Amino acid sequence: MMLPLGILLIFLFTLLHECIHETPFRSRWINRTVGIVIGFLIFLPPAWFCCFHMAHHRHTQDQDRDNDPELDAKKPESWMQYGIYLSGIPTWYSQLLKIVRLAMGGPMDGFVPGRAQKGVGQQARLFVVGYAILIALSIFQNSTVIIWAWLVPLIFGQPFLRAYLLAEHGRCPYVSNMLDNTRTTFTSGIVRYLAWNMPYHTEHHSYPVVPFHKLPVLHNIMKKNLRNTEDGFVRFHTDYVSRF
Amino acid sequence: MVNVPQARHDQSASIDHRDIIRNLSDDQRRDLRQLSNRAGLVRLSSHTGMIALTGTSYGGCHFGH
Repeated sequence: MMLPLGILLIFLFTLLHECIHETPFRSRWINRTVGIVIGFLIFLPPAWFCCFHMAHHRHTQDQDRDNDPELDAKKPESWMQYGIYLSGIPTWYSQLLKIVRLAMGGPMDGFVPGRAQKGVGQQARLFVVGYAILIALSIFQNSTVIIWAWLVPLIFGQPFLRAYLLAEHGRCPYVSNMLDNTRTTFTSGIVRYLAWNMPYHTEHHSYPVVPFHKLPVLHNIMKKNLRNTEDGFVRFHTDYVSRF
Repeated sequence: MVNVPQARHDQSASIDHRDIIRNLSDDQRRDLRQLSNRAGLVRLSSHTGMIALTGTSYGGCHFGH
């Protein structure tokens, strides 16, 4: 059961992503609270991720001006890079380093506006304090529960999230039109459930204020215009690796 | 087979995502932007419920005696 637990835990990322857009709930405080709890669970401070993600939406696949921060992490172009990418090791390394760096008042990323910098740093410090308390409690209680019920499942689940995320923009052209630079992947109800309907990704990028439960409606409106689609994640990855 | 446009987008030849959004009626817009605590909380409850179930089941196997 460790793997299903890990997949369920790590796919909370897609809810965190929704919370950043303030769309899964009508009440702003619920979006913020849920976002903070999930961010803590998956080691991704929402205040920082919000700035990162808004820059990604503003400059999706903008390679020319190097404005899309998602392009900083290069997509895999060989079997070796693909394996490393799917392992999640670069993601964990980058996220943990980021939390420490932000908590220590290190340099801010260019996409974090001045007015948000204080909050981003404070949240990272709170996260570090929270993790320190959990570690101290575990040592005091001589317990390994957080390792086996949280951290190890997350590590096992991360490759599945990486595999899912690669399909959103992987091998999409570097253009401004969301119908081209983003992919909608047709998939099973289970994956759409897990990912809070985010496989309707072109729809999400075209109109980011649409909540997860209305994305199928937007899909029905847009489907005849979708140009960048794939029938399932297995097909996407089969095609992706065939070009190495 | 992945359906990927190979060349840079020819703005004059094809529709832009903004055209689609611009052409939505007011009713469609209102419907699409409808936020709901209920929908979110129901989905959140089921997601966390599944985490609790798998966690309990896994914990029972791993930590149970």
